[in-house]
Amino acid sequence: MKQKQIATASAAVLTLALSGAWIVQAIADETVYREYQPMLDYGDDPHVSDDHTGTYTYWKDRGAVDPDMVSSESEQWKTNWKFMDPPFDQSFHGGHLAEDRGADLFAGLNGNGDFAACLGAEDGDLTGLRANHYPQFNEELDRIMNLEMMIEHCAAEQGKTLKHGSYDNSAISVYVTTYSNDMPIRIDVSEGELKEAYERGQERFHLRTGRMNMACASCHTTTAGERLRGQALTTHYGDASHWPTYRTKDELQSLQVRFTECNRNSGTQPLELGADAYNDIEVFLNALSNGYEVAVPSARD
Amino acid sequence: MMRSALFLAGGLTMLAVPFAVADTPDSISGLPGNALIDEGFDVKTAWPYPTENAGTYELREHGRDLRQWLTLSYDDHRGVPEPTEVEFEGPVDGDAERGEEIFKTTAEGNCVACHHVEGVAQTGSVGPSLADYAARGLPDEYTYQMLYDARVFFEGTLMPPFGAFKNLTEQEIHHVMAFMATLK
Repeated sequence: MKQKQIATASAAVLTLALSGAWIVQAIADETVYREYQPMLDYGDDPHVSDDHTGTYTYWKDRGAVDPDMVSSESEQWKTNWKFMDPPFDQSFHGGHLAEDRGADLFAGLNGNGDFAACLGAEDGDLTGLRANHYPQFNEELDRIMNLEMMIEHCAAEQGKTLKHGSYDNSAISVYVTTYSNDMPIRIDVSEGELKEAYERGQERFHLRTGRMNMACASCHTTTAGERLRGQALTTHYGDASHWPTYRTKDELQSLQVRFTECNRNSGTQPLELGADAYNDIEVFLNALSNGYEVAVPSARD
Repeated sequence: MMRSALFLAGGLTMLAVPFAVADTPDSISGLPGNALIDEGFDVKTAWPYPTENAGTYELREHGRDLRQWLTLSYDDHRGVPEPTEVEFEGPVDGDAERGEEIFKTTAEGNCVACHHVEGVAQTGSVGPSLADYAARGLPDEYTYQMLYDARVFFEGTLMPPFGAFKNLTEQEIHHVMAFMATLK
């Protein structure tokens, strides 16, 4: 067993050297010792079908997820939890309540159309805003902005407090995102600021941190399909398309609120929402959902 | 290492003192400014709870102070300890009951997150099952090094370096070893 593991580690180090080392080299703080999970070959133009776990075929079409696989303890992870996205699960859960509240809040903020315009909607039309324009590099603000950060920003323009990560902010995000349902995520990370964010996000995703010396990638690359405290680990491809989501522990979470939970679960001190590292990981994960349809309101255990 | 003397002194008190209040310094050198903390908490490490129907979130206290370890922040310039080979100075001097608690408690060893043992409903399969660990007859020197820093044996392993990272104390590692000796 020892020999086998060493061989695996060596192969992994080689892979890192071939594909990701230059990114790590470009970004990492070279004056200190740090460790990385082996980098997958994500390429310059990632697509959801590049999924490294070979499970994409099982969750490609949310409406056709195999119910037998869903109810199988050993197979369920292969569905990537897409059975809790619409339209497969039509039950009335907290995500629907959030959508309704989001609609009311949005109407209250958008009396004269300023709020929708501030979010980037043309002629007040929210169609495709999430799928095609977020997360984005915002020239005016000179930074990466996700939809929740922009909701906070645009509400503040009207003197309202809707903090990124708060329930009401996420509720509006769910509502706005419903206008991208069934539309594939399209984020161009082939050039410019988003390319840089995508590469930084890769580096952060594989950086081992915290008291357990774990990276995001520790759970989502080589160990996908295994179990951690009873929970099956899944691929990180196609995972950015259903947020904000309703967690069945009764909590509406934006993607970055989830990051703080991921950090805590793996023993890493969480960061403030909107931290550059979180924004870059969000860009990275969206790029790995390229070509996959948006679906909200969703739920997850 | 100066372990032996510390054990004699620490072994008696550690049983009664929860680790969470044992070490909560007010400031941590190198902690980035965008770490999510609340100075009002005993455990400074905080997390955002999205209170229903509100435009702000509530900060809640995490189960353990995580500030001393590397974060994902670009403003965090700290490194991590390199793989550390250690010599075991036996015998195992620990309390199996306390070791079991460390082994199964999320904010402590959380060993069951990755390893299966009997009697725990939600375990993991990322690491090998330890259900019969003691029956394998592995030397204490090996177990100690695996707990202290398994990277010495397995490059790139997911097994956390509990000793090298000061995630568990020397005494806590001995408690865990005492518990693991009962797994057969």
